[in-house]
Amino acid sequence: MASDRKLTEFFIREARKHRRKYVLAFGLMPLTAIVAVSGPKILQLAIDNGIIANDVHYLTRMSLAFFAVFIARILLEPCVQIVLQSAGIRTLREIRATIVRHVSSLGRNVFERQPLGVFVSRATADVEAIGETLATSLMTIVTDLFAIVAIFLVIAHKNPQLAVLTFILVPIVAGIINWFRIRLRPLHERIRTINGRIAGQLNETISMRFEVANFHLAEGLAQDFEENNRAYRDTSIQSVSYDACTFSVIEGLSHVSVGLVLMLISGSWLLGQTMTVGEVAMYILLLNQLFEPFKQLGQRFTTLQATFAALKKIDDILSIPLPADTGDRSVDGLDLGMQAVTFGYAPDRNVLNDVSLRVPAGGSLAIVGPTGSGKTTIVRLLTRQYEVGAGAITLADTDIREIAREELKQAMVLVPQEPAIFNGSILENIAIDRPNIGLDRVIDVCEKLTAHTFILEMPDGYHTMLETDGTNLSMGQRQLIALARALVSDAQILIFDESTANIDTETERMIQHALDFVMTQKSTIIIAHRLSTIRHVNEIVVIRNGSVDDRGTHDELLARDGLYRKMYALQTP
Amino acid sequence: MLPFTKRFLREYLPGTGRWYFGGLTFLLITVVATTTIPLWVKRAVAILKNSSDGLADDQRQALLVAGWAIILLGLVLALCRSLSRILIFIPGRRVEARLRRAYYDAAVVLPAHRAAEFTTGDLISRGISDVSASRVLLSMGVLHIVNSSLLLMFCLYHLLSMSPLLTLICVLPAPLMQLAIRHFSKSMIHQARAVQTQLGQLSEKIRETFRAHMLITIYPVYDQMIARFMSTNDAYRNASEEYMRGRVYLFTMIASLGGFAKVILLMVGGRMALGDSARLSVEEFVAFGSYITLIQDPLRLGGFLMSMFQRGEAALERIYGVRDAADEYRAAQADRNVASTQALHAHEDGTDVSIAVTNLAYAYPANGSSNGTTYARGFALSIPSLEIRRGRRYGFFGPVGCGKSTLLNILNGSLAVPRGMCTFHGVDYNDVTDETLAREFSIAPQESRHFAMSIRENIDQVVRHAAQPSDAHHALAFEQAYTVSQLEPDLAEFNDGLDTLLGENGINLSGGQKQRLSILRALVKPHRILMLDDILSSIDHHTETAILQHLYANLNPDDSVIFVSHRISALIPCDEILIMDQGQIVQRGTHAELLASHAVYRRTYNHQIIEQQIEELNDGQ
Repeated sequence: MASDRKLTEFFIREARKHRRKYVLAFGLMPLTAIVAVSGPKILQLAIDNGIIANDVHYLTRMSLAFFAVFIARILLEPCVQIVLQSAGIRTLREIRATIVRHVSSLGRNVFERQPLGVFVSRATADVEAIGETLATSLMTIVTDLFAIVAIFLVIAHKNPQLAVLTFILVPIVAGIINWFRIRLRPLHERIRTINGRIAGQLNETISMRFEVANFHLAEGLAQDFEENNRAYRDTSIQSVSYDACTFSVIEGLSHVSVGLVLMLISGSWLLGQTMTVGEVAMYILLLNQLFEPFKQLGQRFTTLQATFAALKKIDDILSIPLPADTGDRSVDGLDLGMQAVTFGYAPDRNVLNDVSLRVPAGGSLAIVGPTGSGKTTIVRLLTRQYEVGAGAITLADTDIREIAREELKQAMVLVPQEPAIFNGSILENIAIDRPNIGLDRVIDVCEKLTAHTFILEMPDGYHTMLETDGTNLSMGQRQLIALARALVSDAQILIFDESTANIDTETERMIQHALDFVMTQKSTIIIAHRLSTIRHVNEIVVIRNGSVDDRGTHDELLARDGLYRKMYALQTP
Repeated sequence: MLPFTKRFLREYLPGTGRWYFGGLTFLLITVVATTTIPLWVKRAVAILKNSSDGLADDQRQALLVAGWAIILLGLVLALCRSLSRILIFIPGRRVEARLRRAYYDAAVVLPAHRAAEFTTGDLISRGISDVSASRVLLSMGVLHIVNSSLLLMFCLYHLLSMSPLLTLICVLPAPLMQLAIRHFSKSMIHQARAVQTQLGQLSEKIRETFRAHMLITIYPVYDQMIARFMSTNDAYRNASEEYMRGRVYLFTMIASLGGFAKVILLMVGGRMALGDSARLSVEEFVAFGSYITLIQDPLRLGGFLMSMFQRGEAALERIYGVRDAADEYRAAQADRNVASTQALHAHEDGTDVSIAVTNLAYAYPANGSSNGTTYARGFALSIPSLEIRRGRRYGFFGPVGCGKSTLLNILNGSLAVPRGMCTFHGVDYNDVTDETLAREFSIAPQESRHFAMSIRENIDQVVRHAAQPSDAHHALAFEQAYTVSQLEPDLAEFNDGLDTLLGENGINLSGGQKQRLSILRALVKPHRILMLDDILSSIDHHTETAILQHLYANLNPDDSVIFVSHRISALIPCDEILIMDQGQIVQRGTHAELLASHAVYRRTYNHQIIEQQIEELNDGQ
């Protein structure tokens, strides 16, 4: 229950934005309860004082009153429902937004452990499972309580003993509901877990259709899927069965209590008085109304189990901690430095040892070295995908751990080896962080990058829609788009993780040409796999086995009898 | 009316009879019990009416009997209602599982050009929410339709037997209201469809946002990405709200029917019960009220049912949309007469030509997007003649966008071409099932993606499911293939080695590691033709040399190999290297011949040699 409270608090926090709607619905509720009990009361008066007393005028007056109550009811109920459900729908929107905001900010390591489909299922299927029901349920429980009190008062007014007897039923019904609730909860939690797996499998199989077909994996994967599919079916049959019993037992009980009252009357246990016909009619109607909320409550409580199970799953996701961001400082300056940095992914194995670098504003730096020497790790540290072990990375003499992440991203952008392309036009993809930049500026940049030609050849030029992950572009084209994106951004420091790997010689030459232009525009760090790109940079750092092996300008390095000279000698046969 | 619902029922109702028979029998008992209770109440009221001076003994006795009867009926009701609901819900859940499986099978088999019509997020959403919405038709739908109609029937019977006239007057507004409801519900099915569609879009947008997490960590685009998601989030909210409002109005309209009947009962029935010459007794008046209350529930549920059917129909339309696309594909496959490896190999005529291409012309459709690749306007592949022979190794070389991957996809059957352009052992590609053709090839595609399971399972599932179709097919044993892939030193770095769990698409592997895992996967699959599409691009030269050396040492001499690479060093051992440019094969020959005859080839090779020497130098230090 304690965790239920925590989950409810989470829901309420999300709902707070729409509190006006909730308050309005809440305010209308006593009114709804009064309208609901006044119908049977009017009927009782009409029977006893109208029909049995044979008073035509009284009967007519009561008929009109009954009609008025009816009208009030059909006006009031939809209003309450619409306000309430709309508040619910809007709250779901907030919850969805919270999930997406949180998941988007999670560190890379989280995505390495959990399939993406599970996250998607949390933000869609699980939020849907909360449905409009939570808001409606919580609020209807409140209305129902109002109605129960009102019914109690109306019965007690005429016949206190009967009222007391009737309300002995309440704890019994509550006990039954609770019995089922305890059994349903774990079932619903399992259902949500399996549902997440099903979504994950759908996602994976669908997005890897090519592999599935070419390696004949459909059958095996379908077996795994079927396992979850069956588990889902069997678990939900169990939960549905409990559900059916709750509903039916409460309904049966409402009739049993009418029978009991008749037996009590027959034995004069109701203190000798018999009831008038009108009172019996009213009592039956009221009992009906009393059990209606109970029936609903039973239903609601079981729905709530599903809801809480879904909320729990969502809470699990939201409990994954975000990457630490202690920084709140802003920076003014572009002087980027790495001072005596040591780092290892595993505690006992350093990938970088005592590496120091410096790129002054507008300067350029190239990092060269063999595969596995630690070049990519330097990129990850500079962009704060990982935190340094010892030493510090500074921007304008401020430790980047003290700088707000957003601020850091504004200052420094990375063109990674595998750039992210999302579903949107080429223009949108390039101008993602500056939506108002205008086509002219984008075209200008793309011309400098020699990407203009291939873009113009696309079906709709700059407005060609790209697919998620850029599956309709070649690898090289994706990098050119990413380079253009980095160039139009406000960031004044650009880190280029050269991917000679994925690009053919011609495209590579285009990019080399483009980089020469980039260096005139921004501070540039190039992680180079080849030497031709970097002849014009201010400083070249040679990394070997995680340490700085040599450093200097192209000419200086050439003057020394080091690794670089050997490389260069090879380049100019 | 509701064509997809009809189709759904035709497909899935058979076989559920046993469950429904039991469920509906108990439901009948439930309804009889429910509608009998007011009769006992009526009897009790009649006793009470004449007991203003206290109860006589026989009256007490009769009241006691009525009380017991009602208690008994209540207990029967509880038991039978539970059983009826359980028995009716079970087939719904069973059908749901079958429908989800059928949908899954369809979504997997969807050919690329049809799959491009849907986003992945939308396809997931169909498999989850839409399948559930369809199931509700069978569980809640059947339960409430039967329950409501039985209840209505029994109640009307009891009402009519008390006073036909009053019954008629009470139900008078119903047909009028029904007209209004029908009119109203028409627009609601559109809203229901809009809600499901929006949910699919939302699901895709969320997926896309999550996929872009790398971009978000390194780029100041968080706000823009969230804004893009929020606009879809808001569109879904609006669609839901609009549908919700319609639903509430509909519910109110329907619920008001019962309330209105009660108003009439009091106004007309009350007068009828007045006076000494009353045409209606007081107990009948009370019983009338009880029955109208009983009818109220099914009427209210009518609205619920209607919205359920609207949503269910919209959901089924979306499910069958995918299944039909899959069925169309399956039917086209079934028409192909070469449907097994044996049938295909029966056409072998002694020559060593496996694939023959004649006058191949291929242009991408006008919208520029097909098979996941958009090509420049006017891109066209044109190959007058090409043969792939048994045991020979072919290298393809050319700039990005020259058509290498397109040609490979045509050769392996992933991309369909018109009849007469491509044959396998003389059989036109359009006469062989994709499945059979796929068994001839083992492909390491340009984009290496792996399943979110352990590395070992990734390989094991291929070994398990890609069975050896004939003696002519060859696969490498795992140990051999593992050596070729050169993955061992990399996996030694992971704590769990081969049992390391991979993330989505193998996210925790580097580009080069993913490519090498692709090579490993391709080699353990039995094949006759091996296709390696630029899979050495993220692998350093040293490893590349080792991979090639082990690959050529281990490959069966009968295997044909098709190699695409930008690294000429990988192509040197090929029997023939084909240079492509702008959709054409511009030159072909051995490495030595091309060095002499093709300037770009020579220049690129010299350039790459230098790079390699630098790298070797680095490695040596």
